[in-house]
Amino acid sequence: MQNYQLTYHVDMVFCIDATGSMRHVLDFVKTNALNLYRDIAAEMEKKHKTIDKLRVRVIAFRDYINDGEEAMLSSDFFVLPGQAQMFQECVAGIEAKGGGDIPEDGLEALGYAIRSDWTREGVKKRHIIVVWSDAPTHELGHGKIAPWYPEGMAKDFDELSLWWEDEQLGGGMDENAKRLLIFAPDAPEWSRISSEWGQVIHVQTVSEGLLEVEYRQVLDAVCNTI
Amino acid sequence: MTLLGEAIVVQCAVVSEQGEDSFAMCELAGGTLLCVTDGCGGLGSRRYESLDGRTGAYLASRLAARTMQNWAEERMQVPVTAAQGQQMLEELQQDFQEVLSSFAKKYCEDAGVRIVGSMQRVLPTTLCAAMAEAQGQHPACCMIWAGDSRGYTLDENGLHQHTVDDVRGEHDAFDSLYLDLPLSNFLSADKPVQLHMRRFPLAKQGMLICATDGVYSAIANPMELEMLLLDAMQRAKDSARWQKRVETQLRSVVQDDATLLCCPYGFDHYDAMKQYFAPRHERLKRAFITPVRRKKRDHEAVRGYWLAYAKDYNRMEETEHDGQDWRI
Repeated sequence: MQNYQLTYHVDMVFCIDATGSMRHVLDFVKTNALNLYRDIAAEMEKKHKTIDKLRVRVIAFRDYINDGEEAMLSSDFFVLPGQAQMFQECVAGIEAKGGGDIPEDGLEALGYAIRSDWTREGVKKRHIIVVWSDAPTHELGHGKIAPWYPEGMAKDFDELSLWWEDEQLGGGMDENAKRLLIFAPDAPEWSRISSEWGQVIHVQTVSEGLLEVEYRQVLDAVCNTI
Repeated sequence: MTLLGEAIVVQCAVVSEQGEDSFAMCELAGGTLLCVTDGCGGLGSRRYESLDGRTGAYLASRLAARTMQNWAEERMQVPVTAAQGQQMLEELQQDFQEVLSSFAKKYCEDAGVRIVGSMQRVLPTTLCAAMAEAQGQHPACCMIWAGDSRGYTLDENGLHQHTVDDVRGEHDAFDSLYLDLPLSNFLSADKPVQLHMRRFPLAKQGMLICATDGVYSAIANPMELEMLLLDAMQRAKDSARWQKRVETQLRSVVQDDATLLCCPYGFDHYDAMKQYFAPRHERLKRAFITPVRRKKRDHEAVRGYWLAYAKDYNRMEETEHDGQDWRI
């Protein structure tokens, strides 16, 4: 029989809440971020699926009004395993500070993530965004008054939803390849995303109480659809 | 009468003991039932500690296959008219809904950290069942499905697909291998069950086939799937060896759990079936397989052969057969 091997290209964008309130869980999240890509690759290997190219990008987010130019820090894609050291240094360099009030600018981080330069290669591909936050989000545009607020950001939640739902309407994520994995509390905007957007898994905690069995569930949910 | 004794069953689990496919196959008063189910591993990844840590996908495929068999044992009869089919479909939908919902209520209540979102479902699985009445003057088959598990027949004119995959977008069986299409419908406990049905007359001799996507998506094109079955059959002395050959070849390529059921009908014995399919095997090899393998790196050339092959392959839509051929 003719042999037929599928190629898998996986891009992951990690959005990490780096505000002061994350101090007690940031080490956990960093470890989780560093392990997640390894666990996904290992899980795929177990199923005889080899990822031909795996890239990871990091976005650390805070609060535009409170944190100035450090409100949104993003890296380019790291190609793994070749640039694993650089990726680890990037994650290790994230510090928990600032944030001001309780909600953070997680939706803007999501906007940045959706508009990443996603891979178009591979017969099978995955565009995966992972968000870790212990806080609800501001409404999109809350930080507009800050001079460093980005030009061209989605103007409201509905526009951000269009970015997610429709490749042609500004998002750029492959409709069949996209996945959104949220580790965040049951807060209004996060829960709105998990109930209204397609291809979403929302783990309603950033760290506390996440059991091994639940981590496996998340891992399987991602890997079994690759 | 089908040759259930000569039928082959191939099941490959990527992780042994944890395979999320299941099946049912039996000969009943009302005809023959073949059924494959494929628990959706991503959507049904939640593990249930009280059920040996099994995933929702693992449990769902088994529940669905058992429900189909239980229903068939009590009520199976290949419907003649679309109205009869509609009634049967409604009964079946209700059965699936009740079984999945009551199981979910009993064992799958929320506990611990909540994991929600559109990518998490309760007991999700695909299903494809073929019910066939191969005896009598008007042999007929009825396929029932939800999701992307497929029902085929194979006869002297080749392999025919009768089911339409429930996936996003409309793509043929060749193009969909190179795309990555999410399911648009499947069985689950947390949404209404929606089944499709396709009834058609059977050729006097042939083979009924049900397969999960782990089978057909591991093979370069549908022509090669037919070749796999016919070549293994022609090289084997009996059905046990036929099954072994198919299994060996499939195991070498599958990347997902895979289940394949093939049940011959209209033959007295294995050699009669081999003889019947020998000319088709030769024709397939000459007209499609040899040139396609020669040009396997030229996607457009292979696609050209596929389009010629697809004329006999696609049997998803009803044709004129005095009202005996319909789809719901």
